[in-house]
Amino acid sequence: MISIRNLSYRYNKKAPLVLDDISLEIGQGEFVALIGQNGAGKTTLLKQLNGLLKPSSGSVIIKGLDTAATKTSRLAPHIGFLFQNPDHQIFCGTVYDEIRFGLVNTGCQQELIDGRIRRISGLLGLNSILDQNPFALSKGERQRVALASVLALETDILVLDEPTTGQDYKECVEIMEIVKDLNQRGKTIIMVSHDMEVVADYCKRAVVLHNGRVLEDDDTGVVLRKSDSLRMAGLEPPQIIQLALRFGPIFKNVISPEDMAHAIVSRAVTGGMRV
Amino acid sequence: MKQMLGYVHGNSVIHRLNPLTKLLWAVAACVACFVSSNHLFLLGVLVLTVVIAGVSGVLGRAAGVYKALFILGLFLMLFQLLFTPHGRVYFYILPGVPVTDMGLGFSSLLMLRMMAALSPLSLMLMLTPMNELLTAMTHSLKVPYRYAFAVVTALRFIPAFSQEMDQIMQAQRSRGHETDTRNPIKKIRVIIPMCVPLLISSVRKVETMAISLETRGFCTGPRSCRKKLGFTLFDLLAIILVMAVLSLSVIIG
Repeated sequence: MISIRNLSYRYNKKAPLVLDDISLEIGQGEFVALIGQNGAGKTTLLKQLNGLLKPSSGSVIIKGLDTAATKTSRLAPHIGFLFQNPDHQIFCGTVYDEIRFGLVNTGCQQELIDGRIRRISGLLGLNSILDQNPFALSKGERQRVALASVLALETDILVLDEPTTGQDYKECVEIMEIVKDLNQRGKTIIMVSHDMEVVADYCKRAVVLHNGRVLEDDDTGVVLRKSDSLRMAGLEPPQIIQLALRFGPIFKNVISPEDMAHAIVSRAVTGGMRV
Repeated sequence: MKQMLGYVHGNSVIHRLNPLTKLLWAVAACVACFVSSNHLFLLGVLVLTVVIAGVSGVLGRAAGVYKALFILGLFLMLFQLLFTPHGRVYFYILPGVPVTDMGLGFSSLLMLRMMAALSPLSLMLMLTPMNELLTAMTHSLKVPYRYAFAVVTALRFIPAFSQEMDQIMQAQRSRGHETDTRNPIKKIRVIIPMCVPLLISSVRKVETMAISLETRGFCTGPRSCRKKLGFTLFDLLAIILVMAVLSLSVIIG
């Protein structure tokens, strides 16, 4: 579905490489987290995926389309992209029109549009504010409006640049549950996040970027245990994994509090305790 | 735009001149270019700015400015040429549209004037740190700090806005919005999804900035400055040169 081969990129001829020989294959239905410290090249790599930036060398192929030869607006029906700052895209007078904009651009049939907008806004809890001016909304709500306008396109691939920024815990969980649901229905998700808890809870695969190179690329549970690599990339595993690492190899599969509870109980049972 | 107005770090004689001298040069050169209608004089001013750029080591950056001004000048020249039918006709560029000696004279004068009048200003901004310019304006010229700050901040924000515009264009393109159409009517429709976010985010940014300035005691009492700006022998020489250029423009006419 997404094939990145030996991708290198620099912003101009004299600038240093921002992405350095990156190769990644991402199949349909994967849920991938891109993690790394600020300036590691995460957003730059995301922008390569929908052709906003073109490779300096190497290639990026999205569903058979070479991004180097395809306009971003032509890739839009295949790949939805949520930017970090919702204010970069909101311009319509109502939330409804804002969600509608991308649908009209990508040639969605008129009779389908209303239904899609109602469904997506229902999912994201925006139904009651559909006729409000998005500029008057809170940052968290604006972020959800931006997300709704991307989800409405119903693209096979979703690229999310820090979708949970500015959300409180409850909103964060709501958004991630929607994304998870979309993933279970076969959508490919690629997400940048600084929240390692979110990455551990939702993403199946994690790619660590450091200085424009892929440092680690494996199952999230495996990657988040590689303390040395994570430290090198300026990251820290979630607390539950740090705890599991201290407990030793018997807790090697623990990635969430539920896993930890199971592991402790089964350890207690095998130790002879009655639970 | 960023390249045209941004300060370029350096330690040349010109860099070390008092900001007031450089401001005087920019204003005087601009006035002189409008006073004089002599091709050679305007060319002279232009050459002088190139020499100044060379001496201060910013010729590479200045070249970009000259190029942009030259392209703009060519457009101006072309229009002036087409709409000046008076004088001796050399040839017809289109049926009924002659190229005349007066047309050529006027249009080239306009082009030279624009280039010669604007390049010193852009050069001044390249060679003067913003905070020094601010200090000079408030301490020596007694411009109220509020106003001087507004001017300097506006200049400082241009690169930030151009970066913001870039992000907005990318966000809209990601939603299937085509930004590169050649049709002028479509172009207006294309611009709206980009101008509104820019406007809104600018207003938001300004509001936040105003609050943050207030919380840090903006304009609450007498200000101190880090660097005392004095005049040196070089400033005196530069001012003499500026005055000479200004007088020459009046004499030549």
